[in-house]
Amino acid sequence: MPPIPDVINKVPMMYRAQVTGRCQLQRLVPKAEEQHAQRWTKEWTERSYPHPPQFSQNVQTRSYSISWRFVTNAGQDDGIIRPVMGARGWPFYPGSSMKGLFRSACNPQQKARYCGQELPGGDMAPGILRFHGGYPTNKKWVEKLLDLVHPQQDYQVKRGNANHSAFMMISLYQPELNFGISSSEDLSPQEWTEIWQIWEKAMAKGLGSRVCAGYGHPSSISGDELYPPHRIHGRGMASKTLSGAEFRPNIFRAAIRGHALRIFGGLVPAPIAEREVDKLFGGLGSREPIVGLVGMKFVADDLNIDRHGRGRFEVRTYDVTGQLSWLLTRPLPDVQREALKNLILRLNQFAMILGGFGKSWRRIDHPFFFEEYYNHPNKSYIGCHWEWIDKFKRDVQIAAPKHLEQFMNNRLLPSVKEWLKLQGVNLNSQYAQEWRETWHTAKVQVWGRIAQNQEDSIAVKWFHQPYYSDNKQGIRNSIKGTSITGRLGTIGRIWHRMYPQFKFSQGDTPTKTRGYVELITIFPDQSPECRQFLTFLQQEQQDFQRVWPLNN
Amino acid sequence: MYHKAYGIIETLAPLHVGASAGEEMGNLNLIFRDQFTQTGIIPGSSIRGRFRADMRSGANKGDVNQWYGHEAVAGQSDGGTTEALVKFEYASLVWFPVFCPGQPVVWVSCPRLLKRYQMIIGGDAKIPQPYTADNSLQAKQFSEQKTTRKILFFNLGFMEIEHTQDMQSWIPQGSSLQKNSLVVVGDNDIAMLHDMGLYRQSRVKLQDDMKKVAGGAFFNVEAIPEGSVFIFPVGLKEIGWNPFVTEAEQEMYFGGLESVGFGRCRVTLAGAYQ
Repeated sequence: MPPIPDVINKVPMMYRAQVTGRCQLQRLVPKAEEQHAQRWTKEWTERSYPHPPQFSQNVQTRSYSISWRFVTNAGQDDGIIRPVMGARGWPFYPGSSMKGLFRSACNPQQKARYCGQELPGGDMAPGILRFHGGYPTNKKWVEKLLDLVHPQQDYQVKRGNANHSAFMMISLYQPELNFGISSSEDLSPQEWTEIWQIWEKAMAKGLGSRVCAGYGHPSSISGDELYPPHRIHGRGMASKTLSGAEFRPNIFRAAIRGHALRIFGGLVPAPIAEREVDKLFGGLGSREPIVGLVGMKFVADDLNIDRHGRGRFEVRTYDVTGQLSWLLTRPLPDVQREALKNLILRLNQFAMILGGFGKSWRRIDHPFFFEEYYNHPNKSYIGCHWEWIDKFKRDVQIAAPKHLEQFMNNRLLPSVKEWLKLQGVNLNSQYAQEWRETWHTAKVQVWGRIAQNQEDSIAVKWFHQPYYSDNKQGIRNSIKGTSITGRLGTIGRIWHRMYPQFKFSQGDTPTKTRGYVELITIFPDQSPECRQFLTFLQQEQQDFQRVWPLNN
Repeated sequence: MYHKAYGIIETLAPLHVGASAGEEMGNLNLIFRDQFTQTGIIPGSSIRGRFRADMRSGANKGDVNQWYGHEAVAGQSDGGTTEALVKFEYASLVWFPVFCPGQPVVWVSCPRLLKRYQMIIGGDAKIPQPYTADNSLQAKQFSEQKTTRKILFFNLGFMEIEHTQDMQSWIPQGSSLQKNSLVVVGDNDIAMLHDMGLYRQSRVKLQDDMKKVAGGAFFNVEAIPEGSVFIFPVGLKEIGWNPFVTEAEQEMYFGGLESVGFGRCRVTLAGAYQ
C-alpha cells in the first residue's frame, strides 16, 4: 500500500491514546479551534447509521422523552463520561441497566416472576421478561452531544482562589428513547399494562447517571416528589456550550446546594457542614462516595433561547417557565421526610428571595431593571431574574423587608436546625469561619427597602457609579470594581435582588403588585472600601434598613 | 445419505455464547471462538438445544423424540436411546459488522469463513481475495492522492481496498445486508477486526435500595454485535422436519443473558429439510 500522508493524524480519535497531543477528551483547551471531544463526537456521528435499530414485533415497546440530558456511562474510556454504543454506532441504554432499574421498582412477587429468583440450594430460576434496552427514536441524538461540566462550589462558597476548571462529558440532549420488553410466556394485555406501570415507576427515579443533577428524567412521569413542584419563570444568560448555548437545569441544584452549604456553614464547623450537604445532595465523601437523598428534576414548558447585545458583547439568553421538583431518592422515615421537605422548601425560598439561579445570579437582571444601562453600546448582560408562578401562598413568604427576619428566624433556620438535629449533629456555636460566604450573623448582613416599580432600584447604580460624591470636596466613594462587587475573575461579596412584592390579604391568594422588595446581602471583608460602604449604609442613607441580623 | 439443509442466523441483539470457565480471563466473560480464525461461533449443541426446546413448547409441537433422539430411560436395554434424525453443526460467522468512527459501518469476512459458507450452501463461485469490496463501497477518501484509493481504518491500521467485485452473490439468504458495505479481509486480519467489533459491556451490581455499587465487584462481558450473520449446516436422515411450520424464518434466542436482551436472532432455514 502506498503511504498515506500525515497518517498519524488520520487515526480516529476513538482509537487514540489518551495522552497530550494525541487525544484528551475531558480537557477543554481555551480558544482551541476544535476541541478533541468535538472531533471525537463528529467522527462518531457523521457516518453512524441513519435509522434507529428496531425491535421485532414480538417485543413490546414504548417511547419516552427525556426532559433534559441523558447519559449512561459506557465505562470504556478513562477520564470521560460517555454513552454506551449499541448497534452500528447508535447510543444505547443497555438491557442490563433496564433490568436493574425495573427490578428495583418491583414488589417481591413481581421481582420473582419478572426478574428471576434464587431457589433453595443457591440455584437461580430465570424471570419471564427480557429487557432489550432502549435506543433513540430518531437521528436528533447527534446534536448537542457535548456537555460542559463546571463545578464551582468551592470557588463560590469557600475560597475565591479554588480551582474551578470545566471538563467535558458526552450526553444526549432531550432524546426520545424507545424501550423494549418481551416475555418468554404469552401475557395478557392487563399484565403488560402492569409491566409498563412498573417500568414507569422505575423510570421516575431517573435513568442512567447523574439523575440527582436533573439528568435522565422522563418529561411525563414524576418520581417520589417531596412536595408539589414549584412553577417558576426566569430570564438571564444561557450557559455557553461548545455547540452554542443551552438552558441547563442543573443550575437549580447547584444554587440550592451552595446555599445549603452557606447556611450549614453558619451553624456547624466546615467539615460537618460539608458532610451534611454531601449526605443531602451526594458527593465524593472522605472515604467512599455518598449517594444524595435528594434528586432534582426540571421540566421546561416554555423555553426561548435568544440573543442580547452586539459584537463581542453578544450573549445567548434564556426565558424559561417550568416546573422544578425535588425528589427523594430512597425511602425515609416520616419524621425525617417531613423535616427534609421543610428544609428543601425553605432553601428554595431562600434562593428565590436572596439570589437567583445560573450565571450572574448575584446581580439583578440589568436589561429588565436598568434599561438605561444599555443606552451605551458595548455593555454586557448582567444579572438574572426569577419569579414564582401559581403557588404564591406557599412560596412567596416575604412581602416587605421586615418579613425577611421572620422568614430567617422562624422558618429557614429552624428547619435547618431541625434537620441537622435529626442527623445527630450537635449544634454548638462553632461555624465555618474561613469561608468567604457563611450564613452567620457575624459574617453577613442583609439590607432591604421597597422599590415602587421596576425602575426604582437604588442600589443598582452603586455598582456602576459612586454611591456618594461631592464634587466640591472631590470625594467619590464607590464600590465599583472592588472586592465587594467583584470584577472579572473575582466573585463579589454582595448579592442584589429585586424580589417581586406581593400583597397578602386574609384568606386570599396573594396578588402581585408593581413593587419590589429590594434586597442587598453583603459578606463584608476587611477592605477599606467595604468598611466605608457599611458606614454609608448605617449612617448616611435612609432608604435601606438592615433586615438581618437585627440584634447584632 | 443425508439431506442437506442449512440455517442463516442474523443477530438482532448482542449474542453471548460463553466460553467454558477455563477460557475466561479475569473478570471478562469471553465468547466461544473458533480455533482457527478466533471468531465467535455458536456451538451445534446450543443450536440443537434451542430447536429442541422450541419444538417441545412452541406452536409446532412435533415429535421431539423422533427428530432429536430419545433420551435415556432407566431399565431399558441401551437406555432406549435412539439416533436423532436431524443433526446440527456449529454456526460460523459469514459477515461481521465493524463500527469505526468517521467511516461507514462495514461488514467484514475473510476467505476462510467464506469458504465454509460456500461449502454449506454449495456452488463453486470464486472466493474473493483478501482486501476485496464491492465497487459501491463508500470508504474514507484521501484526496491528496491522484487515484481514488479506498481506505478504511481498523484497529490494525489503515487498510486499502485492492480488488473490487460484485458482492451480491455473497449475501446470505434471509439477511438484510447491503452489498455496498461488505469487505473481505485476510484470514490473518479477521481475529483482530473481530476484536474491534465485539460488543463489550462493563456491568456492576447496584445496591437494592440505593443507586450505588454493591460491594465494588464488576465484570465485563463480550458479545457478538447486532447485525452479524452466521451459517450452520443441518443434516437430515429424513425430510419433513418442520420447526417453523409454514415459515422459513423465525426469531430464536441463543446463548446467555436473555433477560437483558441478549441473544435475539432471526433464523432462516434453507436447503432440503421439509
